[in-house]
Amino acid sequence: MSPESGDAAALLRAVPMLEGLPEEEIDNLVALSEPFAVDAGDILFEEGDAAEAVFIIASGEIESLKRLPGDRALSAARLGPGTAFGEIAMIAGVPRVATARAVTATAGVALDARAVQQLVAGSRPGARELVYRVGQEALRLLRAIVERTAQELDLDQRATQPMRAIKPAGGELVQVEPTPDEDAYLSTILFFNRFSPAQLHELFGGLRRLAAPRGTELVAEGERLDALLFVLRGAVESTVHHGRAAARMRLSGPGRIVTHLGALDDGPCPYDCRARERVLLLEAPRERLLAIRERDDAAWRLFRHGLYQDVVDAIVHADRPLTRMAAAGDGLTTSAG
Amino acid sequence: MCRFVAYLGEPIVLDEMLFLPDSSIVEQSIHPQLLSAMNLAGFGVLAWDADSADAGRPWTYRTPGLPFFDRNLRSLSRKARATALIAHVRGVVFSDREVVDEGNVHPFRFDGVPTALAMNGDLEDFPSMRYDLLEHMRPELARQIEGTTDSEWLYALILSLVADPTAPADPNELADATMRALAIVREVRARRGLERQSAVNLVLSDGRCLVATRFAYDYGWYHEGWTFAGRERVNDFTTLWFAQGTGYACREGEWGVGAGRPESSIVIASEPLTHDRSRWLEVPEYAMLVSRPGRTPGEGLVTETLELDL
Repeated sequence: MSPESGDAAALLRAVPMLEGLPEEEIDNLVALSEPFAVDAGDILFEEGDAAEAVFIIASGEIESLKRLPGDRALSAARLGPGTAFGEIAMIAGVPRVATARAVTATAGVALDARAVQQLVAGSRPGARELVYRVGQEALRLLRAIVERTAQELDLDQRATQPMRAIKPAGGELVQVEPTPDEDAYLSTILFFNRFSPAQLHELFGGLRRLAAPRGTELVAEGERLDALLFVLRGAVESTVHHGRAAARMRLSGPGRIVTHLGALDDGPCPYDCRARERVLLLEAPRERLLAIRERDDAAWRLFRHGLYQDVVDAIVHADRPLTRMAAAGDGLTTSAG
Repeated sequence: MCRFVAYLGEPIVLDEMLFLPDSSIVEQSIHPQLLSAMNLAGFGVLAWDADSADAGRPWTYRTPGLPFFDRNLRSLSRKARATALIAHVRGVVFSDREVVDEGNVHPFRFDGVPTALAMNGDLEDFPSMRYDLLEHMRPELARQIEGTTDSEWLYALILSLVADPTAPADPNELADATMRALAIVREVRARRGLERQSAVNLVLSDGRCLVATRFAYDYGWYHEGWTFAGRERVNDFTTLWFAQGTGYACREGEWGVGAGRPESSIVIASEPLTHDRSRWLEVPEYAMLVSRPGRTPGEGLVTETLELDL
């Protein structure tokens, strides 16, 4: 059964991510919604496809899959009525990070991604709030992947043994001055290359630059952070531990962000972060980041977009240990269909 | 920057890896997916066929020419079978300082040595450190270096660190020699004050095992004036992918390994041979893959991933 527009409004209001949003925003989304219905086994989209729509399930069940060699797949999540999916790739403007397959006959509404992007690009407080909530959803997904990886580690020593962290070294994080050529350099690396020199100064002027030798522990697992760390040069590895096993969730090189979890959500940092190479970092304190939710000028819009792209990149990388574990053994896999 | 592919497993026809997939290694010479630069400085393939005469000795085809214009290569690849191979397209900076000739085409294999090597990477200012490696090399191997590439020197260095380079490779020993060679290069770089990013993705094989690295020195410390095109920026740690399963074949229009156990075939490549990357796994950064036949046929191929904690 396909929902009519009244049903669509009720369906959207029931999505936890949209709860409490102004009526105007819900009405705007309802106006963009089209019913969809698929049969059991149908594929809604494949990993790597362009993100053309956001889906909200009214009835049925969708499975999110990561494909593996040999026509197998890792089941990443099962999604039921009232769940939105596909919104993270849409907001970040990146291809699908997983395949979506209907487990049972499933119906709901689909929102055209381009229209939603135009909608949230507006300057209304409700639009900013919606973008913020999608960002928080992405952080929740990232944290869930890290936690699942930690749980699986004990089950697959074969996959975890090679991914241990490098040996700790007794290095220290020290404050350094920005180099005279920093603006020119920043214009060549990820994330920072989207800003004009004036925007770079507005966003990052006066923030501390920190340097550390290879092997320095920057953040301990379980620590509560009060700053985002941006890698300017070198690389930081984020490693999750469980018992004696460990897995690297991400290697963050220039223009990547190290500490989303803990600095941008309410939990502790779920992994330790260590300088894999000697490293130069930029530290953005939490109080500066509060503007993500409030500010609407061009610099902060670019900042938000870059931040969510980096979170999605972190999600893609965090998926890798699980997919390798799944490929190495049969325990986590399912038929790709 | 270059691209390579290596294979070990059930017999294939070379065409199935060199030309037919939508992002085959020959296609990657002009249209790599994870690299902006083209790879126009030569093509080489070295292949073993377990059912051929003198099965331990591979046949070689190396040319400084462009593989997509090469009718002889296309014709051969439709007939020749392999149970292991290394193929490589060479990419260099577009500069008259680069030497583009057959002597610099990968894979490298010295006379009387069963193990071959290809590389995807670039050691910073190699001319300044080249001769520091000599003290770690056996003279009889150093004398066989014909070209000017860092890759061929690394090949001689790794072979110098195994007990008998003329014997079939022991996968553990070859993996250990590769790690020790990378550690020596790190020491030499430190001595010479070389501290800019240098990728060293290697693949070695004797036709019975494969050893491959995804490694970089000083990752994230870019060369001054290094301007990236978009794809390099995202893939700034030089990529390496693999897929392991049953026989490599085209299934429902897509080239790849099959399902089931025991797993009998592995493909390792700088980037997937298909535009759809979802059926490939990315090798972790700072890691080494070591793949070999199991102790019994029932075990199939056994592949370990080791951390390169150098």
